[in-house]
Amino acid sequence: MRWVILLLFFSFVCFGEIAVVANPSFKNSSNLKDLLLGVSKRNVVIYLTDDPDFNETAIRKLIGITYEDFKIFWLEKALRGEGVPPKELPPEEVRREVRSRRNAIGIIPLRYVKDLKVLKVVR
Amino acid sequence: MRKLLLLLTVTFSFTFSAETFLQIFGDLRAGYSSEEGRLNFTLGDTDLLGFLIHKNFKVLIEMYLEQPEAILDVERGYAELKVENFSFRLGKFHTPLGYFNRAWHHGLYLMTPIDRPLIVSFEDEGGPLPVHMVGVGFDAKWRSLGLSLVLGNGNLHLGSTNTSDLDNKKSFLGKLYFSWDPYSEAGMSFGYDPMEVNDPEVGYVRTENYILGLHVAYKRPGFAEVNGEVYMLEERVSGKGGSGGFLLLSYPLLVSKPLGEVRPYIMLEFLNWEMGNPWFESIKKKLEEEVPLRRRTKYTLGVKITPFAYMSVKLEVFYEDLKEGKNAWAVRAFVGFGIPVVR
Repeated sequence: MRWVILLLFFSFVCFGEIAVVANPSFKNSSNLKDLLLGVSKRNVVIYLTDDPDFNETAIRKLIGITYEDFKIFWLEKALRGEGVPPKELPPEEVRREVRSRRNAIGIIPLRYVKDLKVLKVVR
Repeated sequence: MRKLLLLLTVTFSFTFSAETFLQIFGDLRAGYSSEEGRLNFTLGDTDLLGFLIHKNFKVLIEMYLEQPEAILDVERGYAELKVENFSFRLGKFHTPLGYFNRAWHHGLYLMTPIDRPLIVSFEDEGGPLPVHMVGVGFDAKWRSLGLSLVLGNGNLHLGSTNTSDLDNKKSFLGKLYFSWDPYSEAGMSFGYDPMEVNDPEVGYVRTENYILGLHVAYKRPGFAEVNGEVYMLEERVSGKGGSGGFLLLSYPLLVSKPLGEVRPYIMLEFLNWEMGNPWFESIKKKLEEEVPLRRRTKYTLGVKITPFAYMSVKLEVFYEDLKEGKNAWAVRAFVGFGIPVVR
């Protein structure tokens, strides 16, 4: 019974938590906001989930702007040829892409995190 | 053998992890102007932008289908190498004068006003500055400071084409800027832009333009936008000057579900030159038929509505105080979009 309660509690906590993840070989020298806005020295590709509500909450908490504004910001960067806009995939696929790409950063629910470098967790 | 091929395929697909982007931009317009005296519906120009980034390398191409002649022109096409804080570029690109020119390029639906400000208009649309160049470029960034330099064939108004320079004089332009966060930039632009050509329409022209500009820009998504730029062009052969600039202010008044962001804006622009300045007079003569180049002050009031990231609707009214001729006004509507082909 204690294990069931513990598991229930754990799954509740994880569902509400947002993880910013990268490839295990990713060496982070810039601050997270700069990485997500593509203003660091390295070229990064951002992967988001296909759930717009999750993305909205995550972007608001991490950068302080709306998800729509975040997309427009990246489209404006793409217009200048400075990087590709964020890609939207199911969380499992985001995990796989980030695992296989050295320059990828993913924003997914914490419960999907496995074999990845966690850069930040926010509730 | 089969194993070797499999290994090569896996290795290649791992090492060649390039990022690609391909998008089509377009727009539709309607408007009434006091000069034309009639309502017009217009199919705007169509733009295709694609690029590939692989590790430190980037190649970009942008093609523009211009109406009404349906001329296909390459607006940008370059290869770039990025090493830490430095990047080197070869090809055709936008010059680093000010902020607006490199920020917006041809994706008109993303920028706030319907058209580019007069001073940074494209060469074939009456802009007096060299906003495109075929040549080499260098960019450096150290913390908040940045430097951009370009050297190339010179202005595309009269002095050169995409494929060749028409004289032996090269142009050199640059920008020194300070960017205190990802949304802001302030800086100084400078340049030397000489030309000596015998144009079939304009005749013999020899000019040496020295360009000096100042700019400030702040555009944080969801907040106020401020962009001000002013340029002085001193033509040394005749000793006559010219100047131009603009101030654009906007603020998101409302964000609602069906409309998205509603952003009213105002823009004040001016363009002036001393009579007899051979640079302005020759491009005025060259563009006489298509886009009349005139000394003026322009006041624009508009609203940009962005229902979602790939579309915008703009409504605008402007009044032009012309130094020669009758003042003009217009009411215009614009629907612009971007269609992602590869992301």
